[in-house]
Amino acid sequence: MGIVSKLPVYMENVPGGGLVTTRLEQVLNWSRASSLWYMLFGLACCAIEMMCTGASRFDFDRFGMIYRASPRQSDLMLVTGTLTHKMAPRIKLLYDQMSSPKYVLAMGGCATRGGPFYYDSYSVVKGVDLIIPVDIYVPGCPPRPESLMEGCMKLMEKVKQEKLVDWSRDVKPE
Amino acid sequence: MSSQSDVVPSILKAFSGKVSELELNPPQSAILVDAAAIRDVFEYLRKDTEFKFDYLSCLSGVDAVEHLEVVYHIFSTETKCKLTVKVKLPPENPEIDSICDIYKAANWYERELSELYGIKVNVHPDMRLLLLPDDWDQGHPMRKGWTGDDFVVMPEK
Repeated sequence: MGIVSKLPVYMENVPGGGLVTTRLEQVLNWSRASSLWYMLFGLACCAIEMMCTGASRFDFDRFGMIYRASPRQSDLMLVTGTLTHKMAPRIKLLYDQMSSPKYVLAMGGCATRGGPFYYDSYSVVKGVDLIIPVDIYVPGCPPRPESLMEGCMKLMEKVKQEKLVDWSRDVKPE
Repeated sequence: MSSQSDVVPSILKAFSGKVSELELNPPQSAILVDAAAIRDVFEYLRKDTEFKFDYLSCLSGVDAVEHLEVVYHIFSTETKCKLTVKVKLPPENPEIDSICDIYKAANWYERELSELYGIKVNVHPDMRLLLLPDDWDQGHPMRKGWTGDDFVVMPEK
C-alpha cells in the first residue's frame, strides 16, 4: 500500500546471490518507525477516536502500530484527552517508566493547550507539554482518525531522521 | 396519606420555627431548614415520617455571594415523593453537620462540598481530599472570585 516506506538499501547482484549495502542507522530507524507501539493514555473523548483508529475500519495495525497497555513495551505515548492536575503526576510517572527512545503525541485541543477548558478551569492542565516533552501535536476536538494517522506519519518521518549519537539522549522537561 | 402535596405541611407541623417553606410546587417541594436543625430534620425524614425518604439523590453547594447554600435532593423509593431541602450558611466560616450516618451516600458529596466550597463538615468519618490533587493548597475553587496559580479568566467580549 506504500504507507510505510521501504528500507533504503543499495542492492547489487553478484553471481550466486546478491549483496545489500545500507547504513546501520537507516536499518534501525526504519525498523523502529515501522513498529511504533503506542501506549494507551485515553483521558477523554479523544480516546474514542483513538480506539476507532485502532479498530478494523481505520486499522492502525497496517502502520505496524499496536497498542500496549504497559509503558515498558511502548515507544510512543498517545495522550488523548483532557489532562487534569490530579492526573499529571501519574502521566509523568508513566512517561518515566517508558524506555528510551520514547515519543509523545498530544492528540486534540485539551492535550495541546487545555482546549475548551483553557478559561475558567481550576482542574485542567493547560497543555501536556507542561508535564512531559511532546513531539507531535494533532489539533481537533476531537481529531478524526485520519488526523491522528497524519500525526503518526509525521512522527515516523521524525523517527527516520534520528541520528545514532542522539539515541542516548535523555530528554528531561524543563 | 402519603402523597406529594402532604410532604411540606407535615414537616412544617413537626418542625415549626426551624423549617420554612420556599415554594409549594407539587412535583418538587422545597423547604428551608436552619443549619442547627439539619440532623433532626433528616432523621425525621428518613425514619419517622410515613413518606420514607430513603434515597439522597443529590447534594450540592451554591455560592450566592451574600450567602452559601447547601441543597439536598431526597426521594422516596416507596412513596415516590420528592423533596428539596436547602440550608443557608454565612460566607465566613460556614459549618454544617454531616448526615453521613443517616444517608451513606452523603459521604463523598460532603467531601466534595468541603473542598470545593470550603464548607466545614462537622463529624465526618473521612475528610481526605476527593476531587482535588493531594497536595492542593489553593483554597476552594468553586467559590466566586476564586483565582489560582494558572487560572485564566475568560475575557469579556
